[in-house]
Amino acid sequence: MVRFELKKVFSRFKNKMAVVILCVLMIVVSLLTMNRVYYTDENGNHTSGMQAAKSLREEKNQWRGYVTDKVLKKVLKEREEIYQTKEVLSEENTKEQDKAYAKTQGISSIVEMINTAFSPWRDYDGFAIDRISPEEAARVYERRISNLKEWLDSGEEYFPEGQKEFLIRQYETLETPFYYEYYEGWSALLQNISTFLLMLALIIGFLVSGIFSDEFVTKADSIFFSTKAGRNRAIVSKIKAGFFIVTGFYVVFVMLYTFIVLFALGMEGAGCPIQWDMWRSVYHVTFFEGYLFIVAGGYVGTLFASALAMIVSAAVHSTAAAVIMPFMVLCAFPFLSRIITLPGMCSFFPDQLLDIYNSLKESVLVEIGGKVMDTAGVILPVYLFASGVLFPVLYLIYKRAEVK
Amino acid sequence: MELKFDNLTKEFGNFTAVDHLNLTMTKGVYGLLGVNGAGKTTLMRMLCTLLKPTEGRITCDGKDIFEMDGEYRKVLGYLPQDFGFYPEFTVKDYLLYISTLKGIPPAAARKRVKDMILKVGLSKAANKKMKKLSGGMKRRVGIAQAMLNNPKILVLDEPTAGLDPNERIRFRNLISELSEERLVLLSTHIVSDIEYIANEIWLMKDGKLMHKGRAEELIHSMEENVWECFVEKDLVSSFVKRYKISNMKSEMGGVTLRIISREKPFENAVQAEPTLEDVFLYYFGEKAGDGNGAV
Repeated sequence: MVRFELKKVFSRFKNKMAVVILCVLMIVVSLLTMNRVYYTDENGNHTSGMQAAKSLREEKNQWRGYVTDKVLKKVLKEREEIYQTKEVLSEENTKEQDKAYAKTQGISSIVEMINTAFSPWRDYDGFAIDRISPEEAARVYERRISNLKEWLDSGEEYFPEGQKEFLIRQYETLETPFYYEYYEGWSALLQNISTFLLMLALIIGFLVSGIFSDEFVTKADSIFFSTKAGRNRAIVSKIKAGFFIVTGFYVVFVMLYTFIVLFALGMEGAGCPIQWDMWRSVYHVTFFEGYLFIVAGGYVGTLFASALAMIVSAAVHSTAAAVIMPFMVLCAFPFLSRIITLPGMCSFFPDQLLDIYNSLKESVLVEIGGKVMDTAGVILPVYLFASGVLFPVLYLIYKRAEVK
Repeated sequence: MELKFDNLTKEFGNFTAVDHLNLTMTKGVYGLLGVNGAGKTTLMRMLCTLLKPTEGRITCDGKDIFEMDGEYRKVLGYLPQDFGFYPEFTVKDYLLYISTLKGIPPAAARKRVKDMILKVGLSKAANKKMKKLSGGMKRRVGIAQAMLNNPKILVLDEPTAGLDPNERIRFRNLISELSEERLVLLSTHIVSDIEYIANEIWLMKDGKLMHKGRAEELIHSMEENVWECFVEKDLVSSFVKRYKISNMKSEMGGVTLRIISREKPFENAVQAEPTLEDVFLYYFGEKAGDGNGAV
């Protein structure tokens, strides 16, 4: 029965077109993601994409390993040697600067980490490294914690005591020194994945929005509901078909996107801490774990929006109304937040599930029952449970449908 | 098998579509006759568990059909008046899908689908997409799907609507053939469809049952006579205003009228044998045409 339900969905022209559009979007986003990795060769010429990733990987992996005090000091020394020539220091001679930069690409992320650590909390000073000694540079991990404490004490932003303690504890317990190797493939993947997941969720919502209403739209409802299974097993089959489309499409397209990007840009760096890219993150996760968190959030968001679309489809018997639902759930609040300042509770709205990347970067903390946690960590299980509740509701709504 | 309507009522807001019906059906063909809006489709939808009654209940061998749920629908076959389909499905796929919905095991379903396709004369169109079928072919697929589970109760709502005369006769014969050994409720506003195949006819108006019985019984229930007379064209309008006219036939120099009237309407009028169409006009005259107009 599920097979027939799937056949109904994919025999429709508009749904076939939606799948084609999804494939095109995936290719476009993959190409854009691939071009996020840049490389500057020894002549100062810039490239991006697969070849750039390959060259950058070679450079960075020469520094592969834990970034200890010794490595930090060595980085400072290496950089000093490269940037000591007159040509490089000349502000007019950009070509020479590019050539010099080409030599520092292997250590560029470590340099950035030092700059961030020695910059004001919400700023980035690209020359901070020039003003510190090797001994100071070696204290980069301590600096991360002391910066946070200073910022919390400054009162620039208000945090309750519990949240302050949580932040400091998370910073202090982060495992250091960081492991370093080429990680740009994962970094690029994560930067664009939220956009891709949103498009994927909307198209999946579109695909499932007709599963229930199309019986009414095509006037097949009379025969459907007058059959033995019409008000029980057939509804379960429709729900299963919806679930399979959501899960199947999500898994397949996320895996395809991941595979394309990582195949082109390289898989190394999965075990590097996410702080290489998100210095202020409170999460103790690697790039791979962060990826899993983002993908899990996206799945729950897609499942929830699709379940709502199916409920609207079953309740109002209109595919058009159902299609709007995922847009409302996943796009309305991000859109509104650009126009007006939304209250803090908006961090709990389902659109946040598709933006876990930003939650990893800048957490919105919440205190529940005396326990401080990030909203992303709260909404994921909450909406997973809510999605689980929506399916029995969907069954009951459709079971009681009347043909008028 | 006994189906019983017990004080059955369906209201849509202030409108009563079916008004306190009390009827019993056993084996045989029941013809439900009434003008559009009489409540035939609403009654059939309740019988097929598509609509819940506002009041009263329908029982099958004493059990409420809504409580029986799938057990009741297992023995039900339904051809709706305006039935939809899945346009991209082939005839075979569509029937296989409906078989699954009817709970027929896959192997048996394949055989049954093949048999039904043969029975309704669609062998050549078995692999055609539903959207490519003609109106008559779609109706035949409709009857095939209704018969897939070899139902004990067959509900056919306006099965011949929109068919050309040839198709209608073929379809009527097919229904007659399929109606053996089961309970069939056939609704139509085409009198001749019912006249030939129904064992019992129900006349329905404004949600109520006006009369029921065999065709002859209904004909005899008429308290007026049927007359035929030839009149000049100029006089037709005055006859239409005064009598129920069941037929008009223009001929050279005048019009032959078929009039329903207790008294002889015209000196040259000849009494004719009443038919079911005359009965229909007699009971539903007001809605059959303009005022007391023609059928």
